[in-house]
Amino acid sequence: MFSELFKLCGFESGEIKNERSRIDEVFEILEVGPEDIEIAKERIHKYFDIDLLGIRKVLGLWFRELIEMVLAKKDGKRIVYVSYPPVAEIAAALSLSSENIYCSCPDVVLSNTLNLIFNKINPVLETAEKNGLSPGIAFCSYLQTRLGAIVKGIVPKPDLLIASSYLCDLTPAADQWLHEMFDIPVLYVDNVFDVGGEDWPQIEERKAVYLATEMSEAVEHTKKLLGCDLSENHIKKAISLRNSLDSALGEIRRLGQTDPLLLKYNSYKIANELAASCIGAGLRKGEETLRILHEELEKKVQIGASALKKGVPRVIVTMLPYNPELTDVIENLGLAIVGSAALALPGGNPTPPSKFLFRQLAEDLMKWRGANYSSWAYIVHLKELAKRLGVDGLIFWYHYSCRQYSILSLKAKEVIENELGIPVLLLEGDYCDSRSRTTDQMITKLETFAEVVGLRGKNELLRRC
Amino acid sequence: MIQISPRSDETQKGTSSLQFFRRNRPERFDTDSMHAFDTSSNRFYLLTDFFGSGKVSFDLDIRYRELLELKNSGKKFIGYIPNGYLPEELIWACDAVPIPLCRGGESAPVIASARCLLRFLDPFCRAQIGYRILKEDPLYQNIDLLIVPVTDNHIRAIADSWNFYTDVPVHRIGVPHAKTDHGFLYYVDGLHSVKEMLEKLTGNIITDQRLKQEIILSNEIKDLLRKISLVRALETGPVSGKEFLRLNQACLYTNPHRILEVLGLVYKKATEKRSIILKRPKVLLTGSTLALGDYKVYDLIEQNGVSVAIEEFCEGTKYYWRDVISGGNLLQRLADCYFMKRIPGAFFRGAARERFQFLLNLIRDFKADGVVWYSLMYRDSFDVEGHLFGNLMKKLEIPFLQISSEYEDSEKGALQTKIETFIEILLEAV
Amino acid sequence: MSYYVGVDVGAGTAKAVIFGNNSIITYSVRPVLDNVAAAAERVTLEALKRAGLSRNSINYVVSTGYGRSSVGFADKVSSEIICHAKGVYYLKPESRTIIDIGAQDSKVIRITGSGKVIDFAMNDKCAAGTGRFLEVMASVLGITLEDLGPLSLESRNPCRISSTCTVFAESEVVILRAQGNSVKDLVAGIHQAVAKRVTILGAGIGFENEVVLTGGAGKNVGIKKSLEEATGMKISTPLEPQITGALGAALIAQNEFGSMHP
Repeated sequence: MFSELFKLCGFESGEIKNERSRIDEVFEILEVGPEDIEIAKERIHKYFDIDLLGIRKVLGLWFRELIEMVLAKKDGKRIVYVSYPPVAEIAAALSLSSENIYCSCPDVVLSNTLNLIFNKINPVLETAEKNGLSPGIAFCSYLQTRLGAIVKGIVPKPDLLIASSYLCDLTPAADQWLHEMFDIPVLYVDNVFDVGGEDWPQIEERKAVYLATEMSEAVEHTKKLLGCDLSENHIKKAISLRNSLDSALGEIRRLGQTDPLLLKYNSYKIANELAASCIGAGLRKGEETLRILHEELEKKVQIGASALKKGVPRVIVTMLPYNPELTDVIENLGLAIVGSAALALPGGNPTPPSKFLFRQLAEDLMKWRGANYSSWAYIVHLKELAKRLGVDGLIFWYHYSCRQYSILSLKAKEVIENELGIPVLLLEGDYCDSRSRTTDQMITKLETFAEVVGLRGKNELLRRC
Repeated sequence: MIQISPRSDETQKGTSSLQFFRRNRPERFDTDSMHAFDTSSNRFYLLTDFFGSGKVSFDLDIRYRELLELKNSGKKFIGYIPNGYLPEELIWACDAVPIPLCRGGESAPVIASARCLLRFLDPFCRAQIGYRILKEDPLYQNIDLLIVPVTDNHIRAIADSWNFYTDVPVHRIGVPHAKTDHGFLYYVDGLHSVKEMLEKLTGNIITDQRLKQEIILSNEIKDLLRKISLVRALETGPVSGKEFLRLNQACLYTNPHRILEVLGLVYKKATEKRSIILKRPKVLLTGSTLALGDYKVYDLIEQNGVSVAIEEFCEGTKYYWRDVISGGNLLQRLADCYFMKRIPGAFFRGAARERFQFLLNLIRDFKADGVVWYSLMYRDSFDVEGHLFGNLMKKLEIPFLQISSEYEDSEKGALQTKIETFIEILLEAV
Repeated sequence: MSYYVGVDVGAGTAKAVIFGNNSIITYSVRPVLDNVAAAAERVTLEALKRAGLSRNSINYVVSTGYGRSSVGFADKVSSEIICHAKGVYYLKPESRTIIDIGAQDSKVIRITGSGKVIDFAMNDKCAAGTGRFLEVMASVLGITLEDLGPLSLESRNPCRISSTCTVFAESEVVILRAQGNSVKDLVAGIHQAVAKRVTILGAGIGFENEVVLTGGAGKNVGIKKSLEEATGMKISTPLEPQITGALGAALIAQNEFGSMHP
């Protein structure tokens, strides 16, 4: 029933055969039936550059992550969930420290599979709502995904939660909820949101020291709680693997800024998310997959093939939801998305392992895209990115309850419009939940924005799918 | 039982540097309201009458005039968000004037803030820039420095919005979300930065001696607040919840010597022997923020035959349960009291257990018959804690009501229904 | 004989029940057109006329509902949640859960074996899951509110309405209609959407048998069916589901008068 789907996702026939019983089991747990598989195939064909083996394999990596995650308990693993954005090096190091430890970010894995590909996340969100998380709106749907999935039993209950609470208030609240409901121990990796950040990109030493202390204490507690041998060597190895992955992604990102664009943004995003969160299969096979993709993109350049037309207006986005339809609409309006504040690393310089390991990790985390540091730092980061990429406009999409971004959206618009003279569209949405904020609501704004950034006449291409 | 007595001389004369603006709107508060931004005079009043045994009056209008004079004489006004993480002792110790920015309960400033902040934020946090935009409250217009003890992203939005949209210098101090050793040191470091900032602004050095004096004075105030609060645990409950709240909030912006006097008188009267014993069901009121002026929940509860025996909120009220040790390293002593020993807010990581235990102690000691959890919309960490606490209350079979507000006029009807229903359930159970 | 009046003034309709001799004498339901006070007056007078009674024969009046404080002739006000509980318990003492879907809000109420309210949940911030949602949808589809229920029962393939907001759900329905979906399938989907919001609302307090549906939506057979599917429980509705609040108010009036004149 699912062979075609998995072939679409870069699985060889032999692999499908070997994994068949596991896939069957996973689909049963997730209640994925033939109808859902047809929907998934349709969406993959429609929204991704499926002609590229690299993209098919990236999709396959996400499916591998999903299978590993859903069956982790049955595979006899001790399970650790990290939250988004994760302290990825520590999470990766945990995975490397023992074969019996499975570490993942279920929010991201489910969002890239059950939501993005199957469009089947609503029952999970409803389960979370029925269990105390503000119905409909006001609690982050990313965390509703996590909680709903655990309560529903489609992902196993973890043995430990590591909450990235250095950026977000909702994540630690959600993990506290899990702790109180299921007695799961939680480690918080925290920071304080007290910086104005006018000296950005300089960062205050005391904050780096604080975050580094939190990280190192989290590691010590993890070792005690899991009885595992998580050492600095594991962390250094994780850094090295992630640097390789980042380096491969850096190559993809450079090609992601060409004119014409070689990839649809949906493809670009799902590949980039490997670095943002992928800890298991993504880390092990991510670099190899991205090298394949890179070669294919180079070939496209040589033969002059592209995903979008040349010379169309170029925009950057802050981030976009797990709703491929929206991205599709933007591109159909003739806008090329050449970068994202969420995915672009400033400078793209990999982290060299340092003598003061946690200090280095803390500084990198705070420097990444500015938002982890202060509101002003993020605004500056956006401005620099827009300037560097020479874009014609900026789509400031924000998740309505993601306060570290939404609180600065009006100021960001003002600063970028005044200082760079490019139009900024503020678009409110929901990261994972398309029930209350549908693509249709955004069409008018997007059409208008597309005209403003330079499209002549109304775009006839846009028709309802 | 509060009575209000408007003064005859309604106009403000000779107000050179402070400006008063009147908003053209009908009186929104009932005559019992202490916080009356009386449309004719824009003043605050506090009068407390305990069962006709004699008035303890304290006219904050005097304080208002004092503030005018202080400002004109060159005193620095230090605005701050009163979430209990900025020791006001530091401000008094450099001869500056602490101005708490904690008004709320009204929709107009929340609406006004829309040009700076989007909707899905705590309305109290939005209202703070809103009051500044409306230009009606001279206190919001005339601060020389804003200190924001940043606890979560909502409070951070206050700091960001004032930073982005006003010319008031904003100084942030971070409140770590866990009571760890490095968290403590981080917070102490923050207090050092506040001290330096205040000294630079005022030109006055905060000496240990002076700081110690302010700590002792503050401890005396807190001691009286505790004593008055404990009187509420009595069956007679001579001090109503709203009366206590007003006294508590008055401590935030009144001259400490003046309020100490008032508290002394109130305590004396509250402990006088009474012939009438009024037995009313009691509730613990808890949640995120109790802004100055946001009394609708108190009114709905207390006007329906139930007393608010005790309240516990993170923002808007003066924290009074612990004293500061007035010897040794004073900044560390302040940190010990206001950070380490303070009951953590919901935004603390893993705060639930400590906070819940404290709330259970309050329920026990104040003999609360039920609990009302009142938090503001979109303050998710409190929503989650409220849900968890509600589960605990269910297990313990203590009546529990969870409500929220966005400071909108349209929500009053539904709030009234929920509270009235809860009270009827409570009255049946008691 | 003593007579008592319960008046329930909601956002859409005003209801009055005359109670006496331990039974319902008569009742009346009228729309709230201009203002709530006038509506309360009108509906009470009509009920009195039907009962052949004058104002003077009434011993006690209790008002409830959204506009309860505006009922000048009431002797007492009471919350509609308590009143619905009392009214439903009177009609069906086996009730343990009440789902009330009114014009502007929806409620789930849990009661004990003696009719006392132990817990409740109320959706007052959002039109989804309320009568307003159904009104909007009926209008969009060009049918009456009364047609909704029977039409929904004819559907074999309900459409999925995913928007949780009434305004956006309206757009969604328009689009689905334009795509050729039948009115009955759309209506069935609309009912399922309402049922879903209500079950989520009540999830925190739980549903216990017997479950009773009241409010204007109690007349809608489609809502009843969707709620049964969503909750997995059998649901009953009183013959006149809109008057349970007013009935409860009248019962409280009887009680109050009785305690004043033992």
